[in-house]
Amino acid sequence: MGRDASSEPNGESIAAALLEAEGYAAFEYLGGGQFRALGKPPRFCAELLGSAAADGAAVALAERMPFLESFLPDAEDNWNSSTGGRVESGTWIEQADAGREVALEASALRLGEKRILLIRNPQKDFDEESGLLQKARESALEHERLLREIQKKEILLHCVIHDLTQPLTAIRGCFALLAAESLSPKLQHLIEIGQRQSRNQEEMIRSVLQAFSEELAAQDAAAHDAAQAPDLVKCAQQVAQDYAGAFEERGARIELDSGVDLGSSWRVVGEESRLRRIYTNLLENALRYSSAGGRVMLGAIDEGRFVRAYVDDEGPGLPTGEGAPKLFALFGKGKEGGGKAGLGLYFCKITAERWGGSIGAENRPDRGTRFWFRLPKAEATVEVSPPAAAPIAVVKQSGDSRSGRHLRLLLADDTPVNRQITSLLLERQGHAVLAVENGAQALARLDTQPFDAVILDEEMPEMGGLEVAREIRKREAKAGGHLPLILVTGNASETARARSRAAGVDAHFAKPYEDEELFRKVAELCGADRATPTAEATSESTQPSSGRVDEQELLRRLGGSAKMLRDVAKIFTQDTPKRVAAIRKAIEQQDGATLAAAAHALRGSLAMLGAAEIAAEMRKVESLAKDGQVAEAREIFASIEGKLAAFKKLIAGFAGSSTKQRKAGRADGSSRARGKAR
Amino acid sequence: MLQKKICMLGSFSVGKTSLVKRFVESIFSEKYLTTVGVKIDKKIVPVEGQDVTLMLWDLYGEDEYQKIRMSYLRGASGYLLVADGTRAATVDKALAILDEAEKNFGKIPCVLALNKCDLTEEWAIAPEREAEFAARARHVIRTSAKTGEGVELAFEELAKGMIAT
Repeated sequence: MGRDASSEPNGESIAAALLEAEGYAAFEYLGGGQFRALGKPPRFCAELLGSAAADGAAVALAERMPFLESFLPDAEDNWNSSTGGRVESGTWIEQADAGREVALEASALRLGEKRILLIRNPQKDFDEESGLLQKARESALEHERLLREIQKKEILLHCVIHDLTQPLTAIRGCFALLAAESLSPKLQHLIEIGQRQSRNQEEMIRSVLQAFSEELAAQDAAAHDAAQAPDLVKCAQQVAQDYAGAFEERGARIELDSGVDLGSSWRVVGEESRLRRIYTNLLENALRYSSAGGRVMLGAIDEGRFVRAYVDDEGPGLPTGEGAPKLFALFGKGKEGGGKAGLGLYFCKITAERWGGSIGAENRPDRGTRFWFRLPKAEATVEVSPPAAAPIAVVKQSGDSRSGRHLRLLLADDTPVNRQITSLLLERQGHAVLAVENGAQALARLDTQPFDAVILDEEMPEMGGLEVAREIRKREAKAGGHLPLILVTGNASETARARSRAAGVDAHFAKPYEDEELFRKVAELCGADRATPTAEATSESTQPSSGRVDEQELLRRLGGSAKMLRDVAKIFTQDTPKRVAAIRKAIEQQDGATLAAAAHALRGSLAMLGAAEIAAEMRKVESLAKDGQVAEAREIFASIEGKLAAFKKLIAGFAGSSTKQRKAGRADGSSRARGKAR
Repeated sequence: MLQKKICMLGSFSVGKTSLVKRFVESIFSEKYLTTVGVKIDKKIVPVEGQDVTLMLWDLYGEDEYQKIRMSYLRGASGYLLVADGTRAATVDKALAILDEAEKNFGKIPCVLALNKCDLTEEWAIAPEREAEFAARARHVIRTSAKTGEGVELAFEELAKGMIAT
């Protein structure tokens, strides 16, 4: 009983049946781009190739499926190789009838002497893969979009905060002048409080800015020494004392909960000044909702490894439906939208969380709200954030300000007024200064003579400060050496500082900066630190007051030299019309880039000469122009043209007789008087 | 008839498929559908007095999930590098792909299309950078698959470059 041999399936037919079952179209390569179909073609193949796919038919596949043209050389290499194996083509799409897209994959392998090309339609896998890739890429795009939004907010914050610090300079200047007057001890004491608070204010603003920077948010921790951990209750007591007056004014009270054990240690992970700021922000919030007869209570609860601090008020309580998450969100302000830009509680949240703690708020059972934050107790080294930036202080040398080595300095700044003033100030320190207008000139000078350090403005035509820095470091990589480089810029962000560091800059000075800080840094970088050790920090600002030209301050800055003041005034008076003309022309031509550059240059001069208000408006012009919003920039420029003209006229007066200036100049606004007299 | 292969190269979501659809079918869709694999379209265009069949290889965008196979560029007569003008990083990506392509297959004509130029408020490429790119690509052309601006010009310039070599 034997079977008929002719009906027995042979190897080839089994293989063909398997391929058909698996949805493969199989072809044998005949050479010269010709293939012979093997077995019955699957439906997709018949659909795409028609009769060419019939068993045994010869077809120039690459002509019918152009994709295979790029795959064929790889397939041939594989067929001709001695190692064998299989090579895959990757997915491609063919269009069938009625526009239906068919996903295909090809693979080439050798079976004995036969060179085989398999094509299959992995539609299910393809659809699944497409779905996954679609989601992944949509997420990636959304992530990019969010990053751009965050960046925009950061830039806005930087601008807002930069402008917020400007009036502080004027306030500190006024305090400094008042401190110089003969006042009663009581008034002197009040002035000291004012000076201290304005310094604290500036420090707070800068720290809030730092807290929002990407770099700070990306850093999760830093080491902290338990011996320096702040005492939470002591901090609460100090802040309560500071705010006692403000509450009294409202007819309300602020107290420490009598149940708190003052004899215990309440040391927590954190940093003193920021802990104080958390309390300050919470108390500000409580004060806002306190009325006459009300009471705010501060307390602390030992929760084992944690300490929970709380601020209880007797206000109206949290609005219905207003969760703590929204209150503590960035720019979240609660129902009434009161408060300052929604930053305070957000700052508290991110600070507490960075220290490993948490924060929240809830309505109290009787009435009012409890705001609380929980921090880990300080034990052996735990990780916290790096210390806050030191307050900006002016270090006044009690000795000769020209002590130390005399340096050869190269200064590059495209704004004539800035060049003049900075050169003069550095020369007063005993240094020799060569000033040039742009980065290209700076590099050319470096080729011909040596310098001890280079001070670079960031934004200059032809070649900016960062580009110069990169070029210098590139040269040093080949030739050796390290020339100290200082960059002066309007951008104080961490991103800008990181950019400076990446370019090889040694010091990044964001305007407005203290002149003494610049002198000290120059000396430090050149190893020419001043010998005089008796430096004492004062609150004196070296910046001219905001909004008005303080002639005496300007004169003081220029070493009391009326001649220098005349020279600077002359330069400004000659330069400004050209800048204004350039601005007007750029506006007419809708040229945002040129407008931004001209506005930037003029802004620098205005800031240098103390016209902070006009400089702030010019910054807006610059910013809008950079974004291509020339029409909006034009409107702002139009609104300040009058003030600019008046300011130029005022400065032009300084370029006149020196005797007249000395007689007219007083810190209380004699420049105003002169202006009025005209 | 002369036939030339053009490879559309660039990062994901820069508008390669949209540019092809605009050029070949004069259509545009706002909906983003990521390309998986390779699609080939063709269009016959007159170039300097002769008809040329342009085989447009629309390759998937390169990212961490998919890297372009250099074998797809085999036999190409020109590249249309596409970048999204609202995402500055995509320009660098396009140029990096060009570097890789030239390393494998030598220099061939290419045009850099800075796409999505209709999104003026979100434009992220500084004019001075465009000048830098011009040194690499035969032409740098601002295009918008949405409005059609610059699309025909981009393909025409590339086609002229391919005929000339």
